[in-house]
Amino acid sequence: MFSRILIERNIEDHPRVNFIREKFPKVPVKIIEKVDEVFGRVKKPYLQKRDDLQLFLGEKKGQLVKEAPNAYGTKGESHFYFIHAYNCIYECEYCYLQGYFNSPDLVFFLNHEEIGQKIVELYKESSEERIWFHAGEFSDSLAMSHLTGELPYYFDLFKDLPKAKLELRTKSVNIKPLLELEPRDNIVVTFSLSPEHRIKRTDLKTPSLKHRLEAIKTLAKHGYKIGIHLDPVIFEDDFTSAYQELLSQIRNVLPSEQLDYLSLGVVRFTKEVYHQVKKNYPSSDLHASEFQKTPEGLVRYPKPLRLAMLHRLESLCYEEGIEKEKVYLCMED
Amino acid sequence: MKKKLLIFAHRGEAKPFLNHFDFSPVPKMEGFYEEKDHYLLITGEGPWKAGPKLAYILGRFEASEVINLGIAGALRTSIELESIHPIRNVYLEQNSQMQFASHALGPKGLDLITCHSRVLDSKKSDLLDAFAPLVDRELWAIAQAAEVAGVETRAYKLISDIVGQSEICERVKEKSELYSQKLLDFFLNLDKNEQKKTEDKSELNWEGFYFTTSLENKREKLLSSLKIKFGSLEQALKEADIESIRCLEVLPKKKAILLVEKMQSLLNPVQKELSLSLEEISLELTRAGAQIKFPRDLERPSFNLSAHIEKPEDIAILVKAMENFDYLRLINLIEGRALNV
Repeated sequence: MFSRILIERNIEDHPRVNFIREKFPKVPVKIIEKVDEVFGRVKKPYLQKRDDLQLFLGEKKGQLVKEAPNAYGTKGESHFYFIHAYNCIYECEYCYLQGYFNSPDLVFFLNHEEIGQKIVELYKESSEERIWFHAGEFSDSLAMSHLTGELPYYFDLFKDLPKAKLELRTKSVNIKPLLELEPRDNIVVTFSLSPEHRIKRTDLKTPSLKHRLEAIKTLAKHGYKIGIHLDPVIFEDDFTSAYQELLSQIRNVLPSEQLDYLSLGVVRFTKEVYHQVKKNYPSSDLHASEFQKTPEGLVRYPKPLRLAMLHRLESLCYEEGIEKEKVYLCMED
Repeated sequence: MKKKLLIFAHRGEAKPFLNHFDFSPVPKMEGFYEEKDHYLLITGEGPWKAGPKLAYILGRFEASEVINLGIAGALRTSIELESIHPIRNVYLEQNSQMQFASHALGPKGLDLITCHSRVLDSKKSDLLDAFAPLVDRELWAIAQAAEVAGVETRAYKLISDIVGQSEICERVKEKSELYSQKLLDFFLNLDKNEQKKTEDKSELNWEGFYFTTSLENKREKLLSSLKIKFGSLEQALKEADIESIRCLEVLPKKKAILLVEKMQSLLNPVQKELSLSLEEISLELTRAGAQIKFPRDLERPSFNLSAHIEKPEDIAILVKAMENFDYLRLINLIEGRALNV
């Protein structure tokens, strides 16, 4: 899986480092001083991850928890995200990570206690009724959790933060670590879903819809609150029927009391990311989509189409019996 | 026909190539040779020599591609001595700092760092090893000069030594003839097996059409997207009803415009629908002689209106058309309520 593991000297003997090294005994190891001195310091092609993926293990420095941009999550609540990893093993053609780090290599930060401290500080400072912390802004929250092993720590941390909610966002079906833990009301596992044919076409190397739905069913049965992201929605001729079917499939596996929320978002890019998509996936059907470049440097559908799609999706959700207060629109002004 | 340009740092590396092919020196161009299919350039050692020399040559001679062949040092003992590797990415080191800009030369192979000085100590080799397993002295500058000239670069490196392990210079000197011969054998084999890249430019029948440069650019862009949408160029043009447009009794340029418009509406049917709705909404105003311009991204229900007034009646007609303008319909259209998706 990894061509090399690069480890910061100061955590060389960290138990989690030893655990990961034991999992990959044949992978060469290199000791470095700081992840930041190597990772992203030279520009590496994104698709190099296909046959030469390096893993960095280190400690996150600087701002460990960041305020999320507007309309990041449910409206009227404050949202933060924390960074415990960079990059992802999957290859979604629209992914913004293509243009983000200038390197596809994976980074796991292991100083979760420091991240946890910052979360507690923000929690104490906040007067809000609800404060969200999202994991997985720059990585998939679950895909590698069997290696990174941080979930028990965060489950324990959020036990004492009743006003806080933790979102674990994923496309993976790597739910074994979750099944070993006691579900908590303030921990929501959220799945990004698209119609099956769209996953096959665009979400390369990700688990199929069938498997993701099975994972949702299992977690819901186990008592987990589940969130659904229908994001990014891509427009195509059979858009309505495809999402009608998807929503019905979701309802079949997820009882309404276990659904925490469902977010809707239409595909959009910065022009830098779109340029990367063109370079990395020149035959993607995204390039035959009705995008427009905006003066602000975004590539997205024209507003009438974006809103028409969102209105239609909202109605489909309501037709499926999803409560209005659980549906929200993501990143849409 | 453009020729391939073979690049070497040292004459010793180039010697078997000069002997094997029928190269002759190009007058007044030191270290530059040509034969029927290839150019050959000897740059001298280091990025400061290689980059400018290649830039000068590429400014005067057209090359189909640049191929750098030479030796490289390995930073890892796992790399076999005297093995030859294609180079995937090339990075640059200067004063023990890595430079961000890199060149991706191919999908497979090993990565290499071009260094401003020879790597002789283990501290530096350890630092570089975090980025790539190989080092040389020229490749980054070669790739940079070629990129500026719009020419692609490939590189193949023979591993001459493990950095810090032995008397590098002695070893390379001793074996230089053998290395060069190996590089030649490798190159000859490579050249034989190479499959020529076919260009994807459409070679379709455009008889009866006249495309200006700008129309041709639009056509090619649209065709590449429509090919994705419909599976093949032929099917895309069938959908665009090219034959009906070809048969129209209008000027060839008009046919080209009609075809491009048809292709645009095939690629963006919703945008076509929106534009028809906007035309309909503004019909009375345009009939009153006004010109209406909606924002291209349709983010706001706004528009610019201009009109030429030369008599009182013009004002009256325009005012009436403005009073009748269905602004609510425009809002509904922008808010996506008029689209049936």
